[in-house]
Amino acid sequence: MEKNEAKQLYDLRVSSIRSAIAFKKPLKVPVVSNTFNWQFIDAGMKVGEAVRDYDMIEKAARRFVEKYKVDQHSAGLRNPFKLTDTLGARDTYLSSTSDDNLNAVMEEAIEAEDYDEVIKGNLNKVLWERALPKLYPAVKDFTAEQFAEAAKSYGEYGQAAGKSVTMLKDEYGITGINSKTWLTPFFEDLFRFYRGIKALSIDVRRVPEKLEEASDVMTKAQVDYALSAIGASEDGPEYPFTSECYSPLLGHTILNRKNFERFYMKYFAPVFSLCEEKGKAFAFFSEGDMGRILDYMDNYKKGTTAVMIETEDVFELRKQFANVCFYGGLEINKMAFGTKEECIDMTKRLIDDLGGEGGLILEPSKMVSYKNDMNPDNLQAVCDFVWEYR
Amino acid sequence: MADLLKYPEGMDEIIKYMDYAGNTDEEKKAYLMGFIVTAIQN
Repeated sequence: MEKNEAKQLYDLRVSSIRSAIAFKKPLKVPVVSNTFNWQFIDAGMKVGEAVRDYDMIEKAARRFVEKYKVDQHSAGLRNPFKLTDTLGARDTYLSSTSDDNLNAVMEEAIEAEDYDEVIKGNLNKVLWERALPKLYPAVKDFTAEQFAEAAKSYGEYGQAAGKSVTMLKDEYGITGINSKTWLTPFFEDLFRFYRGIKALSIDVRRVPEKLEEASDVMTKAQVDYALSAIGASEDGPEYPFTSECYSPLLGHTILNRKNFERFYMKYFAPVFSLCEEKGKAFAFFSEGDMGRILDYMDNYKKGTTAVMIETEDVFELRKQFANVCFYGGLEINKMAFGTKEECIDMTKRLIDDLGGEGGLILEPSKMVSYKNDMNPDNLQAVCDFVWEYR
Repeated sequence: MADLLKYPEGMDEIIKYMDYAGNTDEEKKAYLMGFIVTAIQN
């Protein structure tokens, strides 16, 4: 594809995503792939092998976007095994050499007693002294030279990631998650990386005040930065960003509403307010049932928030919540096991009823990870149909 | 010999062998910490 053509496509795609979030009629209803490792399986590669080879990652990403006309896609560098392998074997991934999937076993990288150090501002100390040797026991025998040699992989990873973003943009006109700022509450990092579901659930009950204090210490700077960066910009969507603020949102699944306010909304609310005031967007990579907390986002005017909806019915949610843009709608069971015609009919209904005038960004309703999560023919048919049905 | 798994003494020792990650000690330490955090968050 010529560079000019790619640029035009890129602008159309970014514009369509921003229009969808703002509940304005998009040039086309956007489609987000929500696939990371499935693209390797679809390319006939072994996942465990591909995630360790930047050339294979690039090859799979090119093949994916050439076949499936999506608008937003990540090239597949989510799991940096080429980097982590330099620190020795880690027991927390099962099936890491299978051709089908990666299954993470959550380990408690830090302990509840470490919150005291985090509150003092010493998270790095905790990660270095506690988490690192726990997750990568081989480092206990490393020399300084070995550490330095291993750390070269970080620069290589950064280069590969940058190259993939540039490739997708300049050669295919495809955007990634491209947000002006990110705001990841510390609770989210605890949930995904440092404590895990079980341990963190216990922490919420046993040491909620320390958890909140640690959250405040670790999240405040991000809030301040987001408010400053967004506040300094002109009103309205800022090109080429797909949002002005972005956050993963998985940890809410173990919280009641009161604790969701305590560990998440406290930090989101001032940024939501600023985004609402300035016509900016705050988007989420969310998992789990969102219906019980969507009212928090729905309190802000249309165009302020965009949330991923997994297995809940987007039609039913739209009846309750008028102001939140949804990512989702492409039911994973139908996409995997339905006929092509069923998938196209589903897509047509989504566009006609929910997305044609904005408010919907099409996406598979669950992250596509395993071979049977998606029928390639259905994905191709849906992507092609969305381009034709404009 | 510094205990490499003590913070920040371990970092101080390791960055002596990092001639590739920035010009100042602070840049090298930031790079090194970025590497470790990325590994932990995988």
